[in-house]
Amino acid sequence: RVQFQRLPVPESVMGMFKELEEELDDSVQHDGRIRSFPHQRGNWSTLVYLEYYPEVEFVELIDLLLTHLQMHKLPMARLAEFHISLSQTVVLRYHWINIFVESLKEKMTSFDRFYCVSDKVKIYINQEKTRTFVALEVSAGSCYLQEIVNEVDKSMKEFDLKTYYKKPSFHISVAWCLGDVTAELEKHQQELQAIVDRFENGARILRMFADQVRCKTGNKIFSFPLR
Amino acid sequence: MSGSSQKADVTFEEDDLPYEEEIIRNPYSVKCWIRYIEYKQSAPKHVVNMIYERALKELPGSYKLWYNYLKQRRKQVKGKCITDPAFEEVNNCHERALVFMHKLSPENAEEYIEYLHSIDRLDEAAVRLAAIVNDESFVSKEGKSNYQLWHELCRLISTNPDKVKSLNVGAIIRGGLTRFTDQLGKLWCSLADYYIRSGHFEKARDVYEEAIQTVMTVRDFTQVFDSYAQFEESMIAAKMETTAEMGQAEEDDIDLELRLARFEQLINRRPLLLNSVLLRQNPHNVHEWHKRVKLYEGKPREIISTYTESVQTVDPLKATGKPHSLWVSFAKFYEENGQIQDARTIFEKATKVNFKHVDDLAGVWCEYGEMELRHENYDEALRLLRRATAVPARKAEYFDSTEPVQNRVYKSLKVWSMLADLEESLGTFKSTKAVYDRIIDLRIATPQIIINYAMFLEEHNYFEESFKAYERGIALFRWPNVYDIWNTYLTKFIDRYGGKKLERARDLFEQALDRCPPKFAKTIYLLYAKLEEEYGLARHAMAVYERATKAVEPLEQYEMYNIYIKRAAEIYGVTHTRGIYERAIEVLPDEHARDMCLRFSDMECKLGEIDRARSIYSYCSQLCDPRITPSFWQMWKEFEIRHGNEDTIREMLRIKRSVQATYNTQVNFMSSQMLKASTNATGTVSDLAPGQSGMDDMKLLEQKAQQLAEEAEREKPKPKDKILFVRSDASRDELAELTKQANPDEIDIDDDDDEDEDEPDEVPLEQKAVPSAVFGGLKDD
Repeated sequence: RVQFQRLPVPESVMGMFKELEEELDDSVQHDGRIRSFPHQRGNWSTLVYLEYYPEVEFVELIDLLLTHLQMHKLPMARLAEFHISLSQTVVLRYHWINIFVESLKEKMTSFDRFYCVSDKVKIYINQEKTRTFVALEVSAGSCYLQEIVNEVDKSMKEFDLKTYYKKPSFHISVAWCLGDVTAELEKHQQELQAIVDRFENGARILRMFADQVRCKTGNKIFSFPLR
Repeated sequence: MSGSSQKADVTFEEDDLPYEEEIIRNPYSVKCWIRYIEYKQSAPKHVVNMIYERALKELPGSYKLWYNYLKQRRKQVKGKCITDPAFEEVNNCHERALVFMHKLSPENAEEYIEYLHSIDRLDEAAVRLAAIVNDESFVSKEGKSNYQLWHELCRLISTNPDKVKSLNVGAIIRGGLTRFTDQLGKLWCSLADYYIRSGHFEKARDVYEEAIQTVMTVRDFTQVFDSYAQFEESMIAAKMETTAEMGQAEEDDIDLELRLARFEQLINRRPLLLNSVLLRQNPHNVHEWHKRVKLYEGKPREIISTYTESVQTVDPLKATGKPHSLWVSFAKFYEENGQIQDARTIFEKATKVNFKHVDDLAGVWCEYGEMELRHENYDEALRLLRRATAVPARKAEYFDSTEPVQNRVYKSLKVWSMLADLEESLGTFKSTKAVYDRIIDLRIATPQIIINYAMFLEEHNYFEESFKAYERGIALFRWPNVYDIWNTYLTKFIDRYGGKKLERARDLFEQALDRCPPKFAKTIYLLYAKLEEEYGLARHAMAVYERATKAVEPLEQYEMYNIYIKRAAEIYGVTHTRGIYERAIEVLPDEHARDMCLRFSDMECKLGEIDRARSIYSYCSQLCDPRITPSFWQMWKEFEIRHGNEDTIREMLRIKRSVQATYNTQVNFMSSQMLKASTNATGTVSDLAPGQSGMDDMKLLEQKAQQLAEEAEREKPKPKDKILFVRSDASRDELAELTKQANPDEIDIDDDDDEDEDEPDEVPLEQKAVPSAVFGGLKDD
């Protein structure tokens, strides 16, 4: 095919409907966070996880860690809620939600409730490398978690969505900050671990009883009780 | 008062007195003066002139007087030598007239103008004409419209550019252009004409150009363009003439070339110019915009700028044609030029346009998706359609025209259908299923969608799901739309389960048939019967067929009976078909009933039941007019020859004659009465219904015919009601009754011709009805 010289689209056309363009995401409104994928109507951001209900002492423990980091000029913010992720954050189409949820529910009923312990301090960074996290890695019970993840992956595949990491490292994130400060944080990892180990009632607080799996999509939350 | 006649004696005649007196009384009456002048026609000229002068002294503003006077004086000097001093005098008269005419009243203006025209004082005529044209309060004595006066003025000044100098021709005509918007063509041409005649060719060209780029109607355009073209042509012709006469020089060559080129270019520009006119007329005419793009074929920059202008000019709410087609074509233009990204830009903009119809926006999304598919960007296409079907921030109902289409397209079946197709090809099973479920939830599904959904589920071996889909479809739609769904569902259900879910299948059939209109019943009944035959009970199948014969359309009953009979014969044996035949014969119309009878009797024959066969023939004979259906009688005859004897044959013929008679009687009675009516047209007023005397012949005839028809109808034998099929004793009597009408004439083996029979005598015939016992228990089948 004969290729013509490139003819530009006229400026006047480019300028049409500018006022209807999708609002640019303002990072400022989200504590400086950016989106990993652009917002689009009909797209519902979804995550499958285990929720953890912190006791007062847990929060105290986190604060101890933060204070320590603060002293070393590494200010971080405590997360408001705590969970163990069982999936990547995926995008569901609005009309997939019901089917997806039903499918998950069915699968989850075949699991029994279990305990797991998360007491290993570890530093994580998100995929886009824009945020660094301090977290408590699961040291006991990850096999159960893996089983659940396998089932969740099946549901994901039904919609051609991303499955979870191949060898996942289950954890509860407890604090975060912007940017990539992995190196600095890792310097203090042992210190933080010591704090955790020394903490009174640490064993009890850091043991989680999993009795339901949750799925949050957009602003809706679904719960799937375990046996 | 210079120029008055020589000092003649002014003597009054005796007869002048009354006129003089009148004038004294009414010195300002033009009529009186005119009367006087007329009276004095034969007088010597100086006398007449004197009276005129006197009149004009009193009425110096009277055009009539002046006109007649000047006419008179001109006549007086006719034939004289031009140097005659009399001429001088006449001229002076004229001059004087003009002096006074300036102070004319408007009513006489037209006459004055005419006068000026006639004495070739065109400039002044034009000025005067311009004055009255601009005078809004002027009313033409000759009933001319303001435009007509304008037109005269324009014509005057354009045809005499050399003579009319006082007026600004250009200004006047342009003034006309604003006032007379329905005559623009002619006015432009006049203006151009003015310049042409005054030799200002370039100016004329400018005028033409201005005209063709501002006119708004095809008519005006055609007038101006044709005039323009003619002008250029004549310029060329003129040039060629002069070069021929005066020899050709090089500049002449070039000049001629230029003129020819100009002319050619003008002609080439015509389509585009015309298109511009149409767009000026209606800028929202989509069709014309497309035509314009086509006219610029091969000129990409012009095409782009045309598309740009079109999408920015056309208001979707006022458009004639489909405005989204401009956007789509625009995008396609870039696509074909290898600029996919730019095509996308156009499409993106297009999705934001406030179209009038949701379907237009849906069309844009689909075309956008199609483009991506063409270039094998499958994921892109899928993403696009997912976007198109996303619920907007502000949901609106599909038909809510107060909301923008962007808020309504999420309910457009067009985009959802395309998404379903794409998901099926490119997505996952679940994602496709989700689409179909959503379509149903949104209440925009069609029966075809339901069937597609079920087929899709079936292809993936989700049989129960596919049946659930059919169920949903059945719940959503009513007859007749639900027919296809039922048909497919039932067929597939049986295919899958055979006899394994017999009760469920039966339930389904009953549900389907519950409200099924006769038009669609046949297929379903046949499926049902087949189900029972293959997996259920034979007698159920028979019951289904029986129901079917009653439930289908009348036209389909024959076929249905045939199927029923065939199946009954195969399953239970031919003897079980008796009851069916009987019922069929009762119900079906004559033509089919006959056929049934023949086959029935044939069957009985084969079973060796000759008597039964005969009674069937006998019954059927009531339906067979020997003249119309001789084949039946032929068959019966052959039957009797084979299986009967002399008596039975005689019997047959008797019956034949009686049947013939009934048919004859009917027809002949009616026709004879009609003949009588047509010949007794006038004398049968008494025959008419009361109160209708004085009607014409036709009405009489019509009424008579109607009466006859009614009578004939009442008298027409109804064989079916009368002759039941050997059910009761009454039939025997009726049969006997019928034979009484048979002709007692000689017994002939051969067929009788039809004759007009008289009423027969009573003949004691032995009529043997077939005893009921013969039929055993079949009577009640």
